[in-house]
Amino acid sequence: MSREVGIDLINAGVDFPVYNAASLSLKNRLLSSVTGGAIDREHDGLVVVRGLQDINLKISAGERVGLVGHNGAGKTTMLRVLSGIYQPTQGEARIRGECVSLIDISLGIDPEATGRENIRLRSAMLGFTPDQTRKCMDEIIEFSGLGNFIEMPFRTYSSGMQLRLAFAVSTTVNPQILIMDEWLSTGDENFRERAEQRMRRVVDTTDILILASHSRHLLQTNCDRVIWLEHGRVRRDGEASKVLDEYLGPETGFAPATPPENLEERRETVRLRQAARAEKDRPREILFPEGELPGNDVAKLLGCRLLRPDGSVVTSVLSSEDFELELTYRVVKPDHFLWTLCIVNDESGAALFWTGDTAPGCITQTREPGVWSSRLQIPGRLLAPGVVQFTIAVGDAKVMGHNHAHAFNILPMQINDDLSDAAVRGPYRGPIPGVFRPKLEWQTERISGTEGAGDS
Amino acid sequence: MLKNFTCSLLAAVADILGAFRRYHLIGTLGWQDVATRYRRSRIGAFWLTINMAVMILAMGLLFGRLFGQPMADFLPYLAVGQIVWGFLSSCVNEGCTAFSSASGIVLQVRMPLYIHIARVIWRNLIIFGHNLMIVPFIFLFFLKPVSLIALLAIPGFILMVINVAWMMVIVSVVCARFRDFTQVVQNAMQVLFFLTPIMWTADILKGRAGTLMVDLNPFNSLLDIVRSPMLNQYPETIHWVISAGLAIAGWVVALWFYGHRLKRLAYWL
Repeated sequence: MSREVGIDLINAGVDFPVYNAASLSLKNRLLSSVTGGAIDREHDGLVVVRGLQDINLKISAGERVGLVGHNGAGKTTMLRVLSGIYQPTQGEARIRGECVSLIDISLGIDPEATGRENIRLRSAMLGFTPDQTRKCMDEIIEFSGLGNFIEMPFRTYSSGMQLRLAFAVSTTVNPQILIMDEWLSTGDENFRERAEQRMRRVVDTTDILILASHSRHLLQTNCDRVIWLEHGRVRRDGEASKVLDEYLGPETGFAPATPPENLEERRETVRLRQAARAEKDRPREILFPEGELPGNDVAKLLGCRLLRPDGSVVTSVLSSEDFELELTYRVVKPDHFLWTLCIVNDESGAALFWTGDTAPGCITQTREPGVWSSRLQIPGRLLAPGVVQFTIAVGDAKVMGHNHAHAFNILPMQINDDLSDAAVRGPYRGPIPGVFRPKLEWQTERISGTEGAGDS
Repeated sequence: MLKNFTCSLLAAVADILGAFRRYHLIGTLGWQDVATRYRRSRIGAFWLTINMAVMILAMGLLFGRLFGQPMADFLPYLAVGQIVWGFLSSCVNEGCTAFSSASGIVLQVRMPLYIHIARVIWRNLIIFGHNLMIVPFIFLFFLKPVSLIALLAIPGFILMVINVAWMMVIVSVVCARFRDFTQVVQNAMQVLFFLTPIMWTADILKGRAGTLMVDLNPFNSLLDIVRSPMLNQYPETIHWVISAGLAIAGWVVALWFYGHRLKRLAYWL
């Protein structure tokens, strides 16, 4: 029986009985049925909260749905209804497809048990058969980087190790419907890039993603459709950037990709996007084909790539991380004063800023023929999250605008929001406007006492 | 009305079958429960065996004297009865918290809810297995013969577990809603322990009073179909009939009740 994966909510509503200690007890229930009157019932502490009302939704395969709403708007209840944990008290919820919810990744961890036992325990809870667990066991151990520690009790791990293990097991899933309350990530610096990639893989292979989040960036990069809940009702349901604009106010940062006009187009976009994801990630490194090297008879570009300070090639970094743009080029003719320059553009190609190599050497020494490389260091806490791309050139250091070789808008680079970057964000976790996100110094002082304020 | 009844029944059966399809999860969770309890002790779960053995010896010596019973008969009787009852009562008692203690899982992962009940049964079966090791020692000590009749204890035990399972379904659901009920159940089980012939034999009552107390006590039947064969006696047919009838009636009620309440269960946690 192959059923199309999908979720239908039909006039679904959830009444939430909130039992305080009084109404959870049998005594009160008995007493209230003895005394019987309506007044007693009212005083027995049974409060019914309308968690969700009149929800009509149809989520079909391929959709990436974001869920927004203020605290108490019903997001958690909604996630539980969508994952089949709560069955609606009114109406109907039809959930077709195997569904995994990643809400608390430490669920079911036994601190006294060894890492290996915990992997078994957690993966059983996620619905793995012992066979499947055995198959992915080594991979999980390898990914979490625990080595021999895997045979030690979980409680002896550092908090980073604990988190890595929990994360590694939770992200081994491959469900048809994936439900997440906020994006899973880890605080561990070295682990982040790999964790991000792994998370991406899980999200990309699932048929339906449902993600509740407060982060505009996350929702915009991962979701095509956003549902806005308010007081247990659907306030808006539609194309991601439109609903987000209404919910969070128009975005002042990066312009989102042009919104598709109608449903059919949106479906098509989803399909294309999935196909593209399946194809391959962005190019990690650009090597211009020999024979088509951009440039003239003075200098030719050979390639360029983005690097971490540790030398690893990347396609995405966190907003707080430093990275480097490295270009390699061939100097063909001697006796030229050369410099390298770069324009950092946003996703649409609009320039954010320009930078050139103004080191004195560029105008005092000519460059010998050969292969050269130049590295541009772009500090963390400069660019806001989003996609940036680069226009690079090798030019004449003495004649501004006279370039020997150039390439436009190459190497799209994802900058991910570092929600835990307290230096910039403080304790705030929500969306932040702007194209740049620098760490700047503030000075605050008291300039007069209360009397002074009262006098003026 | 009838339609609702069938709906509830079907929902309950679907849930229970779904749970057994994930038997490996039940197995893992149950083992983990036992392992966790004895994690840092040297002899682990065998503490259970030791505890039980000490209790049986103490009770056996005391009550054997009090009732003037020959030790060679009384001690095996008490040991088997106590071990079987221990299984039955801790299943029912722990059944009360089957859902409330698993609320973290229930609220985060969709899985057949019967898994949480089956997990309690499984972990108690493991403990029962540990305790059962006492029996051969006692039999050996008194040089009591064992015959093929003992094999009858196996279907007896299975029938008892089937009965225990429906009781757990009911108490687990009721206790999830009314937390006080846990205490009620625990008290009831304590009282039943005294009312059921475990520490004493039914013969003692003869000619005194209250044989009704034994005859009308279904727990006596449940116990007897396991205990008698192990003590080399055929269980009375009536005990089998009562146990089987109880299983059928109990399951019908339990399935209806469970199916009826299944939808709301998660909200109570």
